[in-house]
Amino acid sequence: MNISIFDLIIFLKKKLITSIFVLVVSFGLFYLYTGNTKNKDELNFQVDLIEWGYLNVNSFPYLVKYRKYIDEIKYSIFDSFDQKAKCNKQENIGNLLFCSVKGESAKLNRDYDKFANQVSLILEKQDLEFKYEIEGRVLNKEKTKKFIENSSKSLIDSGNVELLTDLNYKGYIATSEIEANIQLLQKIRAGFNQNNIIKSKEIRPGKANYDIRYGILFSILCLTIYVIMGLSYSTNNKKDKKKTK
Amino acid sequence: MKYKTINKLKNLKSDPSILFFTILIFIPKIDIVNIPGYWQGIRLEDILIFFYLIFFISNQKSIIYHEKLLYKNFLYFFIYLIISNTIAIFSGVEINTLMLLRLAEYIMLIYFFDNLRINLNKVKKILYVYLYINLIVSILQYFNILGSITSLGYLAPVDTISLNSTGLTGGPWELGVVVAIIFFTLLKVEKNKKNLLILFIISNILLLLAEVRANFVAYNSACLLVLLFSKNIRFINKILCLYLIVILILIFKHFISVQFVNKILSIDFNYLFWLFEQGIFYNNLPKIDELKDMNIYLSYWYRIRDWSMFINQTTENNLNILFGIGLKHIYYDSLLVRLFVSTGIIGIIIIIFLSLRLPFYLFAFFIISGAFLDLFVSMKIYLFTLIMLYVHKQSNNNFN
Repeated sequence: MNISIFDLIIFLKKKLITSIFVLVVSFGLFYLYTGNTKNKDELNFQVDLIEWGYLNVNSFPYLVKYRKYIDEIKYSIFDSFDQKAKCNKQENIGNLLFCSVKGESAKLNRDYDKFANQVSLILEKQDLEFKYEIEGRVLNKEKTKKFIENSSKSLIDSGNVELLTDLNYKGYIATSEIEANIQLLQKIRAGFNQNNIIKSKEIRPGKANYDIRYGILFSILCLTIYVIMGLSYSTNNKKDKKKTK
Repeated sequence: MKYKTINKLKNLKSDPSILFFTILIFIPKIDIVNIPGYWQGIRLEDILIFFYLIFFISNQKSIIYHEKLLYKNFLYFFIYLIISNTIAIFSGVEINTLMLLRLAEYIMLIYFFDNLRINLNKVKKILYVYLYINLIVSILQYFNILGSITSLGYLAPVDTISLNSTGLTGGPWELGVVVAIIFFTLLKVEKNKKNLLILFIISNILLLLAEVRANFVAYNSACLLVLLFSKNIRFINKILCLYLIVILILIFKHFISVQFVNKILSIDFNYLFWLFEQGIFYNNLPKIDELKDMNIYLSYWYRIRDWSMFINQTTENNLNILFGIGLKHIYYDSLLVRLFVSTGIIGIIIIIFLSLRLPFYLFAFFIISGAFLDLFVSMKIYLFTLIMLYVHKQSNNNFN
């Protein structure tokens, strides 16, 4: 019971080689155990949805339908990465998603490619919708022009010149409005084509769990247990020896 | 019977040192004179020690140093403390005068115990009485029937500080340490194993009522060491006991839910290290609301915040790293941090050197509880430590 640090030191001195052995073995075991296990690799990327934020849906309500592609892209993130991806927004940049996924780098790369393909398909779909809308509006413009031309001819033939001026004015307003919308759509389409939606791809390799400080602490703990148990055994052993004498 | 009791009281009165000894043990923290700006004022024990100082100086037989001085190691360390404080003053540190007065009191207590001649059986009886009174008071405090007497005076049972039992001491942590020290004192003089077992259970009940995790772990670890180093228990039984403890821990971890035990078993040591590293080495302690679990790590967070400040002050100057900044602050919430901050690396080396002959279970107890509690800032703890060492020494002398 009266064993002091002094006795511990004497015990260590007596069992120096065994103590060093305990230190080395425990340190080695800790290294082997933690060196073989490592944290997962981490894939980080940004998803830029800012372009959709620029769509002025208040002034041009027909643009609302393009907002659905944001949801499609968001869904494809979780669909591609087995719903393990975590995406966060930062203050004041609500339409920029900072995403990270953990896993093996090969699988992460495969999933990332799948996600990139899905995004490009979504963008193609959107582009096609823009194209049809622009073509439709161009056709509409041509029809309007044709209608005004025919109506103007009829008015000239009937000698109704007063109405002709009014028709030309209204025709001009209608075609220029269609033309402005076509230009806007073309501009937005070009904007989407120039923009990279997925940015800053980075794979951080997972670090090994091994930390030399914990290794040292673990080996000291093992040595302390060895010394305590050794001394505990020797206190009983001494007594037995005395008894036999 | 009545005659015997009167005789005993007469004996007690006839020996002022025993009366002094008993009062020091039993007297709760009651300020007689308040000191502005401090929680603690001048107490009865301070006045008693002052009277003892007068007696000691006026007594021509008083010897400052002799070969068989009971607490030589304490005295050596206090001398070093005076040197380190002098160095700190020269390096521009402002020392707390009240702490110097406390140091003087501690030195006087050394001389008191060195001159004390008291039968160990009497000490044993006094300690038993003190322990049982503490048990009764703690149970009453647990059921909110009694309040507590702390440095802030008497606090009603509804006060937040009175939530945990304090017994006759000034705080739950003080109760835990005092109870553990009393057990380690009686361990030396109590020969009846059944009584020791009862004592062990009572101590654990008091520790559970006090609800201080560091004390509970430190006390039970020290008891485990006592068991492992005991010559009277067979080695195979020691191993069996270790198995039982491991099984008990596993049962508490997975099957039985006791809030206090859960708070101990759910501590994540990796997280503790990480918090310590962030707070002390990188000055980057996470915010309080970012803590993993407030219920478990809150007190530790507050400690690290303060330790970081104290350690930064010490590491500003190379001389302070070596000799510390002396008795600049009152509370450190850790004996180990106090040692480094107040006495520096040299102080730590001296302490290790002076503790070489201290029983390992006591060393382990002071290290574990001292990691999270500022043990010797409390006079009660210091007093009981002196009593314990006195009993150990006298008991060894009697045995030899």
